[in-house]
Amino acid sequence: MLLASMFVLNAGPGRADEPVTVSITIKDHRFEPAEVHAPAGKPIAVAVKNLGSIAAEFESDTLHVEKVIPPGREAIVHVRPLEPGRYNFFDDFHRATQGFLVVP
Amino acid sequence: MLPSLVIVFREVFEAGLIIGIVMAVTSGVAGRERWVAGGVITGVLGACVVAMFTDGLSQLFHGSGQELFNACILGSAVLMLGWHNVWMARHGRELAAEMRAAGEAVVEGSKSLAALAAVVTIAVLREGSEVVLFLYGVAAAEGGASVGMLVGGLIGLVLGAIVCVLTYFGLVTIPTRYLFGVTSTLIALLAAGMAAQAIAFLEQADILTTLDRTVWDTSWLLSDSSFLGRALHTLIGYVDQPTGMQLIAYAATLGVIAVLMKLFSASPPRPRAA
Repeated sequence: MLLASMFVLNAGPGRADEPVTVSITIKDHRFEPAEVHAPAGKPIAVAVKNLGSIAAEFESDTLHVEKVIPPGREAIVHVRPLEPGRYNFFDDFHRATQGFLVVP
Repeated sequence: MLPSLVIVFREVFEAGLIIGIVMAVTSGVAGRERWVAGGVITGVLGACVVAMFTDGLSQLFHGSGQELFNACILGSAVLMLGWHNVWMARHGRELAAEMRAAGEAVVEGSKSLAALAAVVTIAVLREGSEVVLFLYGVAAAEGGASVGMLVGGLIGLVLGAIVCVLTYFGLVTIPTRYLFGVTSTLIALLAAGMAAQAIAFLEQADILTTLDRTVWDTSWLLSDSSFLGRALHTLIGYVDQPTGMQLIAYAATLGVIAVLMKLFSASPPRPRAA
């Protein structure tokens, strides 16, 4: 019961901390932009659009996200508030495709 | 060839660990190879189906379909693993051994085997769907499956199978009197890790937003993306930067399984009259 009451299901906007949105596209096995920025201490919504012709998997070990993005689709992954740093992300299906999220 | 080898191996490796544990936990139970093999085959077929429906799935629930699906199947695996432990506690080591000897294990044991086979299916399906999507993508980009891709994938599969076999033989060397305790603990930790993983998917989809901050950071000690880190991630649910809710789910899973095992455990035999 206690556990259930601790679950706050987010049905839409209304969080105390509004997330910052960052947009990236994947085309020709490259992230565009390859380096994105976000402020520290705020939740981040990373919107990734796959402009390629095959599925990509947007993944990051340090951001703790992984999501398959079918060709032509856009996906959003939510990242928890971060400390300053340089966070690497990549296409798990094509490891050479790399980018960084910089938190000053 | 190398990218295909690496990706197939990484995904099969995690499923291989789980299959190795399931095989060790069920050692001595009649017919368990068929159940596990059935689980693997169902998982592979399921992986193909999931891969086919990835596009549709990703669009469901305002774009959160993938995370919800992953959280649900992981949650199902947690329930199956917990149920298996409670079942084993209920029937007791001695009773289970007697049943195996009498052959009644085929009937009673098959309920527990079905639950573990379902866990195998879930593990293979989750990892496998990514492999299928990756291989399909590479084949599409190269205008067909190349020999390099197939050979790489095959080697990756064989390496993953070796991990499975090593896990199995490593576990079955444990003396029988400790085996029940060790395997019950392993199953409970596997379940707790999966529960925390399910929470992580819900956090990624912004479905769960409470206690979503990093509680501690042990990435300097062991990164969960390193080889050992990934093994511990699968086996005991190790995460280098857990959130509060992940920790709660982990502890709650262990707690509930422990309590249920205690509640349902076989009562000790009555002392005989002197």
